[in-house]
Amino acid sequence: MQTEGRVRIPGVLWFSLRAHWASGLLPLAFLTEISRTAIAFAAAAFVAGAVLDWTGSSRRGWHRAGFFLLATGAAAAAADLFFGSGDLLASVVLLVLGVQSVKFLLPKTHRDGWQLCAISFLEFLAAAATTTEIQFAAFLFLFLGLSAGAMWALQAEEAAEAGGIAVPRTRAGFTVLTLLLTAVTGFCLTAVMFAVTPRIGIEQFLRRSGNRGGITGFSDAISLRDVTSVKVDRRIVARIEFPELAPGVSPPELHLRGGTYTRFDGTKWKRGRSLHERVQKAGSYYLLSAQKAAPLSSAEILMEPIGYSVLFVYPGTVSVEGALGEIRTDGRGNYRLSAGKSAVRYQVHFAPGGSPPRIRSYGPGGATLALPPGSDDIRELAMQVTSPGESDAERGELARQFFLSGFRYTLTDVASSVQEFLFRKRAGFCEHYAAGLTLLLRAAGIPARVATGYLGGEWSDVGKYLIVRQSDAHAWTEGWIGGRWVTLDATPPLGEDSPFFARMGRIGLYLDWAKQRWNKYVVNYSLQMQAKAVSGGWFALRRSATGIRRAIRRPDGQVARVAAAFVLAVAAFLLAWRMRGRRTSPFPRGMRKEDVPLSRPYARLLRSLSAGGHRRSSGTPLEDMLSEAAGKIPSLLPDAARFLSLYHRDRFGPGPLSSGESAEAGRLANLLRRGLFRTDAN
Amino acid sequence: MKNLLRALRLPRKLRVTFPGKWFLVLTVGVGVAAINTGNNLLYLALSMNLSLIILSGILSEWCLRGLRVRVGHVSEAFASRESLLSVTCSAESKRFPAISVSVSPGIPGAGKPARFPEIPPGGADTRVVPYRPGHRGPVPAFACTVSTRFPFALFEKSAEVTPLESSLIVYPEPGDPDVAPPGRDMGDHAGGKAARGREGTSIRGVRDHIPSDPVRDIHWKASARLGKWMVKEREAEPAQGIDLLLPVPSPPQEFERLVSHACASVLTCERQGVPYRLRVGDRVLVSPETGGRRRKALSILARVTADGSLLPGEKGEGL
Repeated sequence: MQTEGRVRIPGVLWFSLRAHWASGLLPLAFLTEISRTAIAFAAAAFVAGAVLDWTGSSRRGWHRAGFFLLATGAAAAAADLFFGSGDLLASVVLLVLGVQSVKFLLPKTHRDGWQLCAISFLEFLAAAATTTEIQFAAFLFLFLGLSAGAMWALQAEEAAEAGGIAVPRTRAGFTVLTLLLTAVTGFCLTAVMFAVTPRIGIEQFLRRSGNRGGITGFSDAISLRDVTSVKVDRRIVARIEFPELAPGVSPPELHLRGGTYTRFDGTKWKRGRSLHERVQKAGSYYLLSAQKAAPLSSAEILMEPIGYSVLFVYPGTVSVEGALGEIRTDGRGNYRLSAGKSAVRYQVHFAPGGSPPRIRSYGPGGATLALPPGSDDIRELAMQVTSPGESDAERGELARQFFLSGFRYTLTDVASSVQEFLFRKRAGFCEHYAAGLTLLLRAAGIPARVATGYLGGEWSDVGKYLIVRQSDAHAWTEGWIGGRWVTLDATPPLGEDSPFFARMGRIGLYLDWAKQRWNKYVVNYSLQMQAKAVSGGWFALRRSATGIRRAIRRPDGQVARVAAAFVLAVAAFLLAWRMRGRRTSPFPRGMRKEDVPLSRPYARLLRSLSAGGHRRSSGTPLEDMLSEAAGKIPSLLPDAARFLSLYHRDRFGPGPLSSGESAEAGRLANLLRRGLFRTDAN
Repeated sequence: MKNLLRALRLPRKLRVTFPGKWFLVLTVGVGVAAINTGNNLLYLALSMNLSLIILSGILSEWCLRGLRVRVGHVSEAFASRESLLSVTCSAESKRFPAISVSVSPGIPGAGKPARFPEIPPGGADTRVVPYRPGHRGPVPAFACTVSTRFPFALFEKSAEVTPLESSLIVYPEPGDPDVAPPGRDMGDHAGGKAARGREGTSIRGVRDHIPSDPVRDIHWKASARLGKWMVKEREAEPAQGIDLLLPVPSPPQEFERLVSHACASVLTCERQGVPYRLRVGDRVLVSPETGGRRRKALSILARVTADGSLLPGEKGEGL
């Protein structure tokens, strides 16, 4: 099998090598934003090149055309860099695709084979640098198996070229099994290596461009506009685990706050002041408030990339743990991260009851009592609603209960202003309720502000975490009651009956669980997690050792002692049995250990002959057995004669058979075996 | 000290191949990129490369472990003459095939390594390598270097294996056959027929099989009885015998010349079927009646020293 004067790898390895060359295109196509046209062109070049390689077509003069194609690829990459995406990585990938396409089409030397493997790996790296999707794990497994096959193929080719012999025919079953085992073992080893490789100087933020726009309600200003598109958006924005949760607290009922708004000009809510203050940090902890309320709960939040650099916390958050860089705040419940549009993971320690006192004490401020001009009707309404209350807490609760009757939740026919919502239409969505309640509280003399974030979500029984979607975006009111901000939500609960509630189904929950684990343990894997795992393992080991020691030393630890002795005995027996080994004889019946063992086709033929009644005994060589067996079938005699001639030369010299003769001997042995076996069966 | 150093030596040697060097450079590059960016998926790619390196080590170890090597003569080896060595590599006790293995006998004069594309578990394969020994004598104990680039050609792992039952001996370089052999005509005192290879008609005896013997000379019954391959030795026509004498002690250079001529004489006698007697000093070491005379005579010529003593030789051989 020669291609362009070069030995060609037979069988599975040939396909494995080709598949590896093209495998870099798959993650590029499915996980990145690289030009589909360029990828399709490279794929077409791959198919054409593979066909040409298979048929052994001569491609004299194609190098000139290759040069032209290469120049075109370089020009496309430059154009993309300067006039298109402007992304250096994307442009480099375009250039690499051009080079790869040319190499696909041209005849390939051994060195070209390695270069194409390297190109495929570079494409794989490009995909790794631009994605965080879990599908990458599947591509990794595929790439690993195909890499093993490709390098095996190139190694076999190289060995054959060095030895001046034909590339040995690999058995398809053995090759596939070996590659599969290699891929599985390699995948496990990769996981281990990934876990133990120290994360030196790692950044927690992945520099991945978010494709999503800012989520409604998390910009610097919010208004009573149409939010239907947000409410029907089923994309997942966060997955939240609760390692510690105070009794009686239900995760879907917790308000995850992204921002607060104090200034209202009659149409829009705006933030009170700029976020200029840096949050204090102690180690990996960010101190948001002085801890007072107990017991604390904790939530591990895994935010998907969003279009805004907001730090979401629960009301009552005391501290945040994570490698988040610099966090800035305005002292009014707004926190901003230094980098946005990134997946981020952190842990929040909070008091579910509400905000504890702050480290730097901020009062509610005058802005939280301000009403827009022309709010006399609101003041009158507030007086009517809250006058029975004797304290701020009672007045606040009365104001909240005011919205429980006579108001209706809708996204379609909504009021365009707070006055219209309160006095005429009485229909709106969460922002209307939040704005109405906030103004009522202010009119009643209670400082209040609007808060936005997420409420609700789907609890996953599979992974024991809360799945929060964009449709769970919400707005509510926070009132300054009893010296702290208290959450007051006037929006009627929608629950699972809501048309906006999204449920996944069992399979979906499992898939999302896999994605959550991927994000937690792969995408956001950190040095801190490594340290925790090491210390956890060490403590577990010490605990186990201490437990075993105590169990054995106890006066009543007879059972433990016997069990330990039994385990040791079993281990010793297994070790001895393993060392003894259980080997099946590689020699067919009649052969002795001193003999040089037969190669596989000969041994199989000998076994078949023995099975057919032509028993091997001392002094009865293969030729006698074969002559006796083949003598009954004249049609096999020429093949038997030719086989014996090759067999004698192979076994007894003077020189080894050539690869062609060796293949012929094997083929004849199999032919004779099948012929004799068929006859015997008949 | 040597033993200590040998004990401290690593059981395997590793050489990085050209593609392997590039692979390592690429791996280091990915590592630097991963550290620089903190991208965990780049760490994953780095881990994949590291796992491939580990897998390469495991698979190549499976490939090499349990291999046995036998080295033997395909043809008689004479000093300064081309000959052939058979290298048999067997995987009798293995469960994993040996793939892309090359064996190079650690003997001066052994040519290219023997390459074995695949040896199935329980199987064996034999290759022939050229051999041009420098001087006569038994080949001292040697090790074979068994190496493989399987599976990924990133590294070449090699191990030193001591061949099984390899007792090689190099016969002296045959001198000029025109020069008369030392000694004198010993007449037909042998009173019988001398061996003439296999050209005669009646069987004189049997001897051990060597790889260059044709199959038709195998004595099947004797082989079956003795459990090893035996070939027939045939009688030849009676011929006049000669006496080959090696005077000892002799100056080393002169002695080598005499040995060389004696070797040429033995070969000539064997070819022509002339009975002969080989004497070293006053000792008769080979007589016309000796079984396996040719081999014995050549072996003695290979092992004899200038003071008349014989170096230990192949198994069972001695004075």
